[in-house]
Amino acid sequence: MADDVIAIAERVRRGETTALAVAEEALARIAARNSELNAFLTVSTVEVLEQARAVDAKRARGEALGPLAGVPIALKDALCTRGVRTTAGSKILEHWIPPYDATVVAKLRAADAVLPGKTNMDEFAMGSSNESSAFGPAKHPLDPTRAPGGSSGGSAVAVAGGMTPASLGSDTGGSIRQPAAFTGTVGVKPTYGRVSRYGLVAFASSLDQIGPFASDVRGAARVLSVIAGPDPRDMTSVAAPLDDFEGACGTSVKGLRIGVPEEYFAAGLDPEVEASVRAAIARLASDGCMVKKVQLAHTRHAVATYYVLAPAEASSNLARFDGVRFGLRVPGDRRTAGSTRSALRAMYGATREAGFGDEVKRRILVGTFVLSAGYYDAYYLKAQKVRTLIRRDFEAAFREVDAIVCPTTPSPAFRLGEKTGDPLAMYLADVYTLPASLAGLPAMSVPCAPTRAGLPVGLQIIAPALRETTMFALAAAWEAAQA
Amino acid sequence: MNQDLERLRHVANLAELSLTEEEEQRFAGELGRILTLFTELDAIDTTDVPPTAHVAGIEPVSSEEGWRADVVQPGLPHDEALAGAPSVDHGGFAVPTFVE
Repeated sequence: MADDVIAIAERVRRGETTALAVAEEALARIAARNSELNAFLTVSTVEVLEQARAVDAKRARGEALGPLAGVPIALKDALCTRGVRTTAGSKILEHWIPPYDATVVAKLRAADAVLPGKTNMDEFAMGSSNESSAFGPAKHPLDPTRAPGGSSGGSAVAVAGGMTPASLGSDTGGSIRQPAAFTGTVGVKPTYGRVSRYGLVAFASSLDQIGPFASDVRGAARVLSVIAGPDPRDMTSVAAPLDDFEGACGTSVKGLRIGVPEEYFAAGLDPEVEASVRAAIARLASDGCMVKKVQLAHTRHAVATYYVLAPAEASSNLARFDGVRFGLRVPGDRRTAGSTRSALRAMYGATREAGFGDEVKRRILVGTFVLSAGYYDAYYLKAQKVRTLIRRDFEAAFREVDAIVCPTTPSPAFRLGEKTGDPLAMYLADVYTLPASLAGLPAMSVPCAPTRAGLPVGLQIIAPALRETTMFALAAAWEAAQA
Repeated sequence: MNQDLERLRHVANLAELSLTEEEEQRFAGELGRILTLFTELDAIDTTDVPPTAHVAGIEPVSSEEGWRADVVQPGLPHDEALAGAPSVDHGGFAVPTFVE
């Protein structure tokens, strides 16, 4: 995709191109690259051409077009799309066709975007490499032997591979920011509650948040402005007024106080990632930002905290996949070791055994354990208290600074298979994205200078709750400095 | 039976998850290793620290005017609600026998 989000929308609005031509080009690019990259699980050829024709017809009638007129936007396959299958990367939903649209999908349609398909992801968004997908991993566009990151790997690859100028992902512990860093795209996790979660297949409800990937900062800001806002169907969505995210791009960052947390430059950080991020911070300083050291003392406990809380919520959310109302059903054997059970319980067990992959089973088991009688206080309640301490670290830091800048990930994209044998190694790769998730804060990843081998590196910007405008101003300033 | 395996089987039963013998062995060890990671939290002083179940300081959408108005909205039509079900009988979700 040669053009970015805003260029396409403006060209379609002015009649310099048609939505149909843009959609056909996106489909051609998907057809050319998807067999290698496995970014899309479903390509909605018929639907996207129909949507594009409808946008062109609307313009021909002289009606005003929406802010995403004719812009192809790929959707993570955890977002429900009416009439188009939604797998969440799992065998248990392989053939499921939702009867309704997620709120964000309805909002994209209303803004005249077109939707070419559903993207690959770690199963139920549980993973950091896209390798837990039941349909094989998406591949890194610059090096197909490497992971594009996860869980929203396919959505990152759709943008990085030039198939669509933007996409939607979901971020529970870094699932937008980490693949954005790995693939050299812009990825935004809004404040918890900024975007309705209605119609997002739930992983960990107190952490899940939908956000955009785009090829540039302004494009991400425009997509966020379309999908954000309160929704009566999500009681955790925020009633706060919508700020002008796009307008914030290009505003001066002179005098902004940016905090650099030393805990994010700890042992285990790849030296090339550190050099790239520190160079970006130095550039922001020369643009007039005031750089200050801040302490986020509980950062190193974010991994343990998150991997108690997120599996606990997941074990509860995934109880709905029981072979009764939707998805796979497998009849089970009533005899188990030493006893018999009802045909219903046998069906539950066999359906979940056949339908879930290893990482999902692992997290259901961990989550069920930490919530079980006798262990709840020691694990779940304890982790919730440490979550409070992590939040307080940020509250204290944001009394001193307007935003925090740090690496998005400790390393550039790792190789496929490198961490699949060791679940703990995979969990530790999330160390820099988890704290902002636990604190519900807006955070984004923007590309900074790549490694000598040409692998992208992500600069993470974390802002106080509901201050996405600060984040976009800094991201746009950094993007402009590189141009 | 060793304690790791016993614990794993108890949890799998609570989670309505049938596992093969190979999975039981593997997950029993992995569960043990993951729980060991969590022990670092024991050393953190959380005296008088309240738990965070949900990020506070953000009021939910319904709170501005108190309860939202009780207005009837269109729901999912019956046939569409059943369309994705593996088994349907007499207009409802059909399940295997659970009472003898």
